[in-house]
Amino acid sequence: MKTHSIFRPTLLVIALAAAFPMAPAWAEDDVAELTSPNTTEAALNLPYTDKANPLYRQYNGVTKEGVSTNVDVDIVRRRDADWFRVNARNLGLRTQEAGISYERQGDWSISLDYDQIPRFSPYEVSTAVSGVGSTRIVQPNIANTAAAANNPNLYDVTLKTEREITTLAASKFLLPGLKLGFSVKNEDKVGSRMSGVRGVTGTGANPANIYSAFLFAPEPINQNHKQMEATVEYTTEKYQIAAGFYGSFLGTKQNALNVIPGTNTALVAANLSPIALAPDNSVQQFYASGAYNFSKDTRANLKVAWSEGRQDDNFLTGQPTLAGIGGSLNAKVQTTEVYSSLTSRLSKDLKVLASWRYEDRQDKTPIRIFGTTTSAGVTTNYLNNPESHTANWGKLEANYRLGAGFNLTGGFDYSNKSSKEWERHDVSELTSRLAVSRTMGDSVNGTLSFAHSERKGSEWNNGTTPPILPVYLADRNRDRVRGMLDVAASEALNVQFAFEAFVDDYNKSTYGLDKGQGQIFSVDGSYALSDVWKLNAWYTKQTGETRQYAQGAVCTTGNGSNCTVNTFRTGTLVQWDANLKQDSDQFGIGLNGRVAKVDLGAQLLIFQDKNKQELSNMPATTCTNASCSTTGAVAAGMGVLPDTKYTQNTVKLFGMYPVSKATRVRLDYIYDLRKMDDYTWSNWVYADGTRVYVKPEQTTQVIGLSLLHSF
Amino acid sequence: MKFLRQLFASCLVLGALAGASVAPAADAPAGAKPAAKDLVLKGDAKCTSCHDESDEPKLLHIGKTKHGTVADGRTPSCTSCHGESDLHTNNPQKLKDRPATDRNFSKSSKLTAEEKSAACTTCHQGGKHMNWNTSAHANRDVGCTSCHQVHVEKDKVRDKRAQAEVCYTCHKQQRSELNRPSHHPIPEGKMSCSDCHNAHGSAGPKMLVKDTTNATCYTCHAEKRGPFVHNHQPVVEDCGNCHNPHGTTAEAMLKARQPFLCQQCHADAAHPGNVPAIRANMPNAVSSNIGPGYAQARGCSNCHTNIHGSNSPSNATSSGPFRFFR
Repeated sequence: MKTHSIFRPTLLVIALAAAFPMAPAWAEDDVAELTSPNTTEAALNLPYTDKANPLYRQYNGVTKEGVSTNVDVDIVRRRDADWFRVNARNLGLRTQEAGISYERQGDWSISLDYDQIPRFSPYEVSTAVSGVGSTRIVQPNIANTAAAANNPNLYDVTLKTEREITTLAASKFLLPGLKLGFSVKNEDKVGSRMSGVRGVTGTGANPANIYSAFLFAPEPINQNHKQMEATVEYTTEKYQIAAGFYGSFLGTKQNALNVIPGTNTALVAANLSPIALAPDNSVQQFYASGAYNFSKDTRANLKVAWSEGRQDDNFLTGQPTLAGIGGSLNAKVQTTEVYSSLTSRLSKDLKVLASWRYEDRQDKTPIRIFGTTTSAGVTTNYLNNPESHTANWGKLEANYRLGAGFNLTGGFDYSNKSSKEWERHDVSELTSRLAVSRTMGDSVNGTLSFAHSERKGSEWNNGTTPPILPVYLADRNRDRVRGMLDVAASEALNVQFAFEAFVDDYNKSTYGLDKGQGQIFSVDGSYALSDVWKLNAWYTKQTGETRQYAQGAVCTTGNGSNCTVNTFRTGTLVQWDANLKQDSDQFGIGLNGRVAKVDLGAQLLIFQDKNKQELSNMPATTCTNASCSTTGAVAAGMGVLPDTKYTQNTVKLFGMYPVSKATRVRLDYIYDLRKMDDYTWSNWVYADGTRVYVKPEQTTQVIGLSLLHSF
Repeated sequence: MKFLRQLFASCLVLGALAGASVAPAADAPAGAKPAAKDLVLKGDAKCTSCHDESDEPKLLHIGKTKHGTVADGRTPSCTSCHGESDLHTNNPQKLKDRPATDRNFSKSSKLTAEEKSAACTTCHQGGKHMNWNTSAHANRDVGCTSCHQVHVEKDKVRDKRAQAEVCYTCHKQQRSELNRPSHHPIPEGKMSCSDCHNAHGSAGPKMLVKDTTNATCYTCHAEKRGPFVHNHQPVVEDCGNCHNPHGTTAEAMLKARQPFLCQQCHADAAHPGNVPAIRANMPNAVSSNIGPGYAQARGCSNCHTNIHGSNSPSNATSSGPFRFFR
């Protein structure tokens, strides 16, 4: 869009030069223009947005309807090997970014970049809670008997976070092949994100207290993250080495969120405030890496890294603690990582790859007692839980050229992870895979691959298999097939088919994830209608299904005492399972071309996503009122979660007209429809009266006028 | 093209006729052809005497790139990448279709991806390219020119707004997932695939820019790094246990909605294994306690607020930081 090149066929110029004496001067000018990167361009963009809908605005920084004027700039200057660049995008918007750099190619460079990345929540909040964005959330004053949902003092809040990132980078070649590099990245992130706190559980039958378990308490974010990296690299034809330092330092400006109750005692977040916020932390890593070419066909790589992470931020205050815990966690984690590999083409047709990666994470945080309980004379201590683990990943792969453009690739991937802190100390997985591909055909190329994985582990800690195995430690068999077919049907038409499917089988666990499967099919096509008109289209269908089992408590029998506060802990355990299904279809089409001097383009995206949460039948009887004084048939719809649906239809059109050699006018139009049918926030009311809305249908239209000029 | 070539030939003839009437330069041997002049790169006359901007790729545009910055003595010539290509240049057998250059990068090239990439790795094998030979790309017949356009001023894959389109050529699932409502801002152009992945290979898994998944995530989400007083085991182990960073329909890019995600590890007891429901379809006795709070709003995180880890030193045990309440 921003490029401005002028087509002047050089052959013609050269031919003219041969015919006419004046021609050589022309040719030199034209060659200079065709080979010069020098550019000075600016664009004034005037997009008018009719509605800043929550799903559309999420990352684009436009939060109000109307014109959001912004400017783009591109400047490139090259003189000999010196490059000077200035670029800016969206200046004036919350997504604005800019960069400036100077470089003497092959010698030194320096650059400074600035970037803003906003994120606005995809829903709207109406609340009576005050202090949003601060560390002091004040609950409204509502009488115990009042219906919180009817609180009249609601106001709208937009939850958002905004990042401002500034990066300074420089490099210098000290000798041919010897390069020093340095960068420092400073990021400030402020805002607040959706969060809450558990208050007290519901009391009485008053609807006002039904949701008193949950209070709206958005988490404030005000932090600074500095990352710096220094590297030295030495590169020769035979070997390459590098060493460096990476440091990451997070500073948070607050460490606690306090929730201040109002007058409704049912809303008091008893003993649940303050909430700890993320503490300062840091990591410093030293690493060295290298590669060596034993021959043009054999190469070895090695990387060794050692890092230390620390977290010694002051503990938040104002709450009961045990003596002896100190003022901070004083955490220290030391990690060693090694990666090595060897690739070799043993013969013209056979290539092998072997690699090994190792991680040793040692959490050396001192262990202390942070809480203690005594029951029936038995004291239980609650300790902090530092986690150390070691892991190995190995890969062995061979690729053989069968001829006629066909390749056969087979290999094994092995991983082993172990930790004394895990319920299962040792878990290993072996994947065997085989693929056949044809990648050098004139018109038809493709790949078909199969992989089978088996994950197993050691005995569980107490010697007996628990009823549920954490999903990332559980035994699992996984089969996967992938295929891709690329057909160049003609010079103008290219079609690509892709398919992938997997089947997971988690075994030896009574509860938790049992089985999973997924498929994705995609077809892409591109067609050159003419020299100037290009058409591309694609369709993707993705489906998935997982089944998992659980047992939980519901109120099935009993009286009021059985079905009040702790029912969910003491009620009869029922067995149930869930079958989670996902089904999405996406279709996209794009058309680009030119009519007379006007560049035209159109894009369409249609996306439909549907999720089903199918739950098995519930017990025949359950409590039918709040006090559980009566029981009866399962309430209609209980154990049923509605399907969720998401739809996006987006049309983008543009046209660009060259007013003159240097000036162009561009017109853009965007129609964006999103539909969200999701129970997540549907009819949800926090105990403090806060409501969260997701607009079920959101239509945004943007009409943009841009003026582009090359200086 | 045809017209241009005809015009070119006509002009040459015209030029020859015109030249015939002009006395030859005193120092030029009679009948000698003037040496072709390089236009961009050193020695490019071998190519530019026939090829120009009317061909694809537009030949002279390489002059706008770093490869065309001849003041940097390291820059290549045409033959550095394409080979001497004498058969192509001279066409000794006078074939209608000239033999291809020694190293041809077109889609119909008979070279393997590895052979094509060798033109690049001759120079680009240090720094961020050091692990190219072990990368999934290099070992799945993806060559440098599968993604990069060398002759153009603005290489699409190096533009963070356009890069994903290049990656989608093969990575259909990621394209599908990034269109979901909860995603990283790649479709909006505020991030690129290469913010997390080094397509040239790395020492980490999945060609991630850092040595582990978590270390990569912490470059932007350092507040999750801890360590905390109370660590959540799967968080420490791998962020990917719960999140799909390419996008999901569930909020926060969670792989599954709560409580189902949490119940993949916690579903064998009365409370964590409870039945999720929504306000509209649970009887009061259940909903007043926990039912809708399982499935709606933030799900399990409605109470277990600090699910990535709590740094609270509080001694409260039943409702405290040990269960990530605060």
